[in-house]
Amino acid sequence: MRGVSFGIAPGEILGLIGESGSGKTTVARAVMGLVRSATGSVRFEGREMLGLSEQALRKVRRRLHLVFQDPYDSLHPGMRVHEIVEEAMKIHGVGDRAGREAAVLAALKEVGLTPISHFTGRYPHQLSGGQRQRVAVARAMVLDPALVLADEPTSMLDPSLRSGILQILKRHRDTHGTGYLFITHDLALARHLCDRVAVMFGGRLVELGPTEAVVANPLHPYTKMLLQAVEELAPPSPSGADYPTSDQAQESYATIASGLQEVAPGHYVACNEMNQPILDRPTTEKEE
Amino acid sequence: MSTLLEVRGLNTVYRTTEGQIRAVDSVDLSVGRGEILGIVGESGSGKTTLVTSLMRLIKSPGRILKGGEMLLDGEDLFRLPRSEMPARRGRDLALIPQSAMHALNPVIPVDKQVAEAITAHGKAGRKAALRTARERLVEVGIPPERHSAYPHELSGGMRQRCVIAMAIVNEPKLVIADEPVSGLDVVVQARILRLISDLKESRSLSMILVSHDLPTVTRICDRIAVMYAGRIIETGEARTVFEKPLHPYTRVLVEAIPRVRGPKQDLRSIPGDPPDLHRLPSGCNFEPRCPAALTDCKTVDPSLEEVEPGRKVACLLYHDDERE
Repeated sequence: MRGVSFGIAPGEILGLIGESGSGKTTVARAVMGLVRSATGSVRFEGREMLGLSEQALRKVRRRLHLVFQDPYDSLHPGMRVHEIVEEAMKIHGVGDRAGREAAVLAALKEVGLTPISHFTGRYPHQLSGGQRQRVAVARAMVLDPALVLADEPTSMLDPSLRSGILQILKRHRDTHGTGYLFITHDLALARHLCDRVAVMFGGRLVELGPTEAVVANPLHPYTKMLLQAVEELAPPSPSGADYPTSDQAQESYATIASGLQEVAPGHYVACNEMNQPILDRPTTEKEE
Repeated sequence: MSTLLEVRGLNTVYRTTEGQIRAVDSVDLSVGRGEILGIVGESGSGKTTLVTSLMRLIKSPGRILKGGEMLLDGEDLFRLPRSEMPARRGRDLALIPQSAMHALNPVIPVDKQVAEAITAHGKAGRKAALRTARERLVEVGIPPERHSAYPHELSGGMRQRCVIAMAIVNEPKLVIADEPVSGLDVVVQARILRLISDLKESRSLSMILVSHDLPTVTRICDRIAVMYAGRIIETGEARTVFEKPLHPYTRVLVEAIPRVRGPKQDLRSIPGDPPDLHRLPSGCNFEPRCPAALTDCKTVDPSLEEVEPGRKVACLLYHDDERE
């Protein structure tokens, strides 16, 4: 990963798009302060994160939470649902026992694990994949973080359950003003959820802009290729494509992205590459 | 189009600590020559058990119940002795498994592995087999300089191409692909699907393609069958099912698809959880989650019935006689 710059405003959902090996997860880990070798600057609520001591980081992490891709791996198999959700509050010394219990119940209700009494005493192996991911989301929400980093949180779920999780995230953003970094390889999914998208390729950001603008008017050859693949995989459209125009692109929080140039309001692209075909892809995954 | 495969009354059960479950429940299906049948299903729908049953690879504690038929070119493969099956697999029907990485031997170059698939059936000598193997690898888009690569030296897409080459190398009557593109990046997914479409044209491949992803299946299949809780609940011509889904479950599946073009609609989701085969409801299996359920749906278990020519659905909303 090199020269990656972006910002997330309170209550904003930024989609980080890219294929396997493009560096998406590394970005999330760096934001959490988990990449010791990272250089540059990560400012969270005005505070520099890079170089913080483990102890100071732990404090910051109360306001910052991760939701992982695999709900089968991310929940402790020996803990019950209410213990899993409560654990972070205990670690951060939040509230008394009654207060924590109320917060756990509220979080479980918010993610739709009802009737709550049916779920609190259960172990992860007694839950379906969709229910597990809801527990993981409840765990992230219970401390009312300012920023949630969600790493492909729905890619392992059935399509019919995916939108349920997305609705929970969206509603939580709307009611709590939480910011989200939503990592996905699925541009169509990002279109439904994200205010802006950042496209990663070979460890760098190649395009960044309001979601509708990027989808309607992709500028970087890699974004174009990605979009073409998504359209090819999409269901055939009976009524012909209805392309949104780029003037629908909303005003967004400006981000000065290094190496990127602003070509439309809030729409950045790695310009020197704009008209060059992708010959040698710098990813680990070399296809044809 | 003449019929190549005809499956009737397929039931596969598993013995578990909580009792017996029916993972595949009274499934009938057919595949015409040169046709791709898509089977769509989510977790617990029974699609993997269906594939495993068709390959006759079900192992204890699972078994295929007696009474079912699987006619391939008129011959009932379920009646063949088990010992005969290894000779049929690869030659009569070939499988493209879910994970290409696990399907390939890590210590043998890919051209030799494809050649082994030929010599295993005693169809050719080693040299001739290697020559054919390399021709097939070129056909699926692997350039000659990569033929002697080991699987780990290839990308996920390339490995998937090798597995496809291996599946077609003995010119099987039927190819069964189990989630052939899941786990690959979107750009690679699009390429692999294009390859499958091309092979269908050039070799008039007959195929069953199993996937959890309805758009994928709609794109390249001629007909599709939707599975829920071990049963086929809707079947018909692919585009028709996608554009005019009848079963409430299929409707939600269509409305849950995020789209990159067109107006942005709210994505639907299904309340509740995937079916628990130990505790299926007494009426329709989908009734507890169904947004359109009628009172009778709690008690009447709908059968799969033809509602239009070539179109079948298992739902009381479309069965006039059962509803009365």
